[in-house]
Amino acid sequence: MTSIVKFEGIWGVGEETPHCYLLTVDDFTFLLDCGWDEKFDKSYVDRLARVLPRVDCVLISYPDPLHMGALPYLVGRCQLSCPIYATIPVFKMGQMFMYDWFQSHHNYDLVEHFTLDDVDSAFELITQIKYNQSIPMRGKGIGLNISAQPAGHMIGGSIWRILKDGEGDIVYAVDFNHKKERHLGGCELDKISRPSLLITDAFNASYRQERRRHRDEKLVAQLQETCRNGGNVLIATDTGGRVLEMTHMLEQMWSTRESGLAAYSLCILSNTGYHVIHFAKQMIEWMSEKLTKAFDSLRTNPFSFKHLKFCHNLTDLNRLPSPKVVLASFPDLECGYARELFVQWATNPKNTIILTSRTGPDTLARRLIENPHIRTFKLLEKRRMKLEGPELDEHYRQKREEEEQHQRIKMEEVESSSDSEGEEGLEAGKHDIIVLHEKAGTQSMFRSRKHHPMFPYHEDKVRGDDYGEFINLEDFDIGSMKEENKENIDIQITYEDEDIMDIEEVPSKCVAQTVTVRVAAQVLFIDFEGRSDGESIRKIVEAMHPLRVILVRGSQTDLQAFADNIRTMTRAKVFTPALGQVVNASMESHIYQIKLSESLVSSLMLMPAGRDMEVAWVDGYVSYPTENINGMIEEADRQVIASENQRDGDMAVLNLIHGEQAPSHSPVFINDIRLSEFKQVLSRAGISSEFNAGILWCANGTLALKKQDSGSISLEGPLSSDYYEIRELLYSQYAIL
Amino acid sequence: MTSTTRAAPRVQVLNLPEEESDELKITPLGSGQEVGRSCHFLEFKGKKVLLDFGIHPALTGMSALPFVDHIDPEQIDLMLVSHFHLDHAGGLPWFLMRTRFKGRCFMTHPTKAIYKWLLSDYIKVSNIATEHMLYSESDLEASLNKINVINFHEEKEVHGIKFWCYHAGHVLGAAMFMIQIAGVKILYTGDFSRQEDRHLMMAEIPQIRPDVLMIESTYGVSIHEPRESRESRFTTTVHTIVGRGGRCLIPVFALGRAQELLLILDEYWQQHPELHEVPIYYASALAKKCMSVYQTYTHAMNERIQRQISICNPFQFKHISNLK
Repeated sequence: MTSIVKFEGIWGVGEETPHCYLLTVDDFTFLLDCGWDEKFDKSYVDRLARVLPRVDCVLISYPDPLHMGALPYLVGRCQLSCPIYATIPVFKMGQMFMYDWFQSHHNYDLVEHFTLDDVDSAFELITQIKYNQSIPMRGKGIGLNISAQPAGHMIGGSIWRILKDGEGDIVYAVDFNHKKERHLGGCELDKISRPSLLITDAFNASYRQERRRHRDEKLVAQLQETCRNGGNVLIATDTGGRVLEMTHMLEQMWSTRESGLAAYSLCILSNTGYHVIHFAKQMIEWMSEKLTKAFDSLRTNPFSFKHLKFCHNLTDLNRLPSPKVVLASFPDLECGYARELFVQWATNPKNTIILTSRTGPDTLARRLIENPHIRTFKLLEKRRMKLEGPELDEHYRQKREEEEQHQRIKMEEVESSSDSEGEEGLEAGKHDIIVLHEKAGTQSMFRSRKHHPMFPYHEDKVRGDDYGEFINLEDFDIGSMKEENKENIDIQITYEDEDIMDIEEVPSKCVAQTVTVRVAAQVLFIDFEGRSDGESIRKIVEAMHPLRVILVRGSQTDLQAFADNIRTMTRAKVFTPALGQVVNASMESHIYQIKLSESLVSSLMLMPAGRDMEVAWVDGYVSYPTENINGMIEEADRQVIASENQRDGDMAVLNLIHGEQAPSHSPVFINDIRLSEFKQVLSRAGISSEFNAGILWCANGTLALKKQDSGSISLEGPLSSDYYEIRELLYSQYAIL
Repeated sequence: MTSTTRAAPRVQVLNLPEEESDELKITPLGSGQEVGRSCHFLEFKGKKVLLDFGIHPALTGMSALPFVDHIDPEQIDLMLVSHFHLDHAGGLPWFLMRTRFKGRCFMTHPTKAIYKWLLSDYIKVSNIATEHMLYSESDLEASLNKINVINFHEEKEVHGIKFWCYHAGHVLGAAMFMIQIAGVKILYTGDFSRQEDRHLMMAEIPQIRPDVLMIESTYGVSIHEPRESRESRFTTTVHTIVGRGGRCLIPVFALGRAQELLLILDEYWQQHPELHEVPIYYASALAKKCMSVYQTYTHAMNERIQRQISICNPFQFKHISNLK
């Protein structure tokens, strides 16, 4: 690949932090994922915000916070506005993840990083694509094509492939899963061979998995045991990724008679559970071949569940009879219903808590996995409480003041603007203060006008036609009114936004206190991460045979061991960048970017060549702003051969060699013309010609044009005016330097 | 110039292996100057592609098939099916199971899902002797395993033939195929519609220019009545008929346009409470069977449906019931 490829980890390099990388191909910058951790690390988004203006395109691999968590923040607060690409399921499920994530935090904490509106506006920017659909980049990225390939792990999960006009490709593949699962097919990395650059993670490099059958049996046994003893089971899982695999599997277990589980309640408890499954039903074409085949021949949707119930809050859950098995988000136990249930249920020795994935370091789930024998620990418990007593009074007082302020502003506006505008102003004032802010300009303009103190008075205008007041037919339409009501109810159930409004109306505050939790329940880690294990990853990388590898996300020991491993297996060049380090992963080691000096560009004699290109011959030398001649230029189009001792950093400048100093060269003909095309040129010029045995005979068979094996064209015949005319026409087909 | 030298290059051309020939050959095996049994045979650079394999709706048995004796099924690399209608996919089980075809066959997800039910219905309703039947229920069942699926816009490559498909409107899952062989692009539209309707999007115009365009021309020279006036003509006719106490029978093909008619009627009934007394039935087991396909593959439909679907499924009708 004759491009300059640079890679920088914004996060996720050298340690197990969320994925976020910057990849620059020539002038075009990709942001590969933008995950955020469970604790909303601020220094990371600051780092990211700094590089954001350079980003031309964002690629999202999976819908979870680990891969797209910072997206709402970037769009809402940092005004990210470049195109974002994700597959349809990543888009849909990503939305569910972000809603759930926000709501889970909002339930007992202030979320200051993003709002639901930010989530919506972030997803408006996303272009939804399909697997293997190649998308050409625009602007600076002309010539680059991206495409997503199935990656397994989560529905719609993508391995990104960046191709530069038939010059080899860059593959970004993290967290993939090669194994076929119940609802997903495996990744298709085996179809890619010899990529010029592979970016992958070392998270699982030294990890060994249990066999799938063992693992499933272990889960069933645990569920049976706990339920039979009358305990409840909490399975901590995510919102819309791995939960699909879990629900599908549990539903199957519940449907088989032998498991004896059908007597117990099975439910999914998350803010968006119903919608996640509802959307999953419409994404059969993204799932495993087995599922689509079953759907084609039986017409039963694999995600229409008989046993699984949906709960959207703890009251719903309490209505279900115990013993119950509950799938709750999030897997890190840092927020959401999973955490609430954990605090409630951990104290009962009959209960079981099942963790399904290794989340970020220092999260509650990770701590439990790493110290399985931990019995008591301290936990910061946050809660959203209703305001009471003096606090409530204080709140109302503040609110009143705000309202008064509001009113004042409104009044001023009403008074100051003329009648027709007054109506509009009031309309605006009704909404919220933000709209008023926008009006600030007009307001200050009118303030200069003198007016007399008087009680605020506003006349309600009644508009009407010849028959009196306008009648809105719908107000009297009984049938449709019913319908409308129904729809309203629907919306309230479905959209979390509505719920939030309700919550907002009840004055509340957030409190935090440290509590000691005694863990009496059984805590188990059963791996349902759906990532390839270390051994397989090594085999896959070996089979791909990449020429360059960049390793990200993993512990230092894993990174080093994996890097050594790849080096011995494939002799590829392996990079394990640290935070803030820029890796130059260009394929050709002697490509440099040079700046063309002003004087040079203005003196170029550009010749058109091909459809939209121009070429020129340059004799020049390369110099650094401070240093002198370093190398000689051989040819024009920026193919510079230069000595290797050049430093990075300052860009070299190409200067022109003037006059006689320039070495001479024989003319270069650029173009590849076909005789058949040239025949048309000749006929346009009024010269008749005819093909015979591969030779083009012109001017009544006196001149012969023949294409040589070397590709050049020879012209034979007696010197005549025809000869010169044809030669002139032939020359005009080339760019001659 | 003697005649012998003239003949020399021609002989050369004839001896040229087909891989090197620049000739692109398209042979209609059906639906050439007729309507029905769509089937086109495409040859270029030694690659052989078959587009659609329909049957003639007015004929039965072998005579309904396209003229397959012109080709050798064994040599065909790739077969593409544009949509599930009988005149485009009706002969497929016969071709896949009863010939020596060993290439690969592709269609979109919704097409495959409906194909099975549509053809099994076709087997049931065609009342000719079993020995004249083109294929049996078990052939149809087995043919499913030989059909691969492709998503819209997804690029695939088979034996050096690159192809992908665009939305074609018309019916759920209908696709227009762009086929690229040795850099030459051929667009095969199948049946398409450029009018967005209640549930389908209009046919896309590819951003990439094809070199050869194969386009259906059934309505090529006629001008359609605008959608609004056509629909209102339909709904007022229905309204007057039921208004004067009559019954209204609408004979319609079970799948495809019928779903659009159901959506129109359901919406019209919704707006006219006085009609709520009048029941609407659809009398098709097939349409009922395939309703779940319509409820599932919503990503192949237009934005309006996709917006609605997150609130309630528009294919769960309020005023229409199935006649058992």
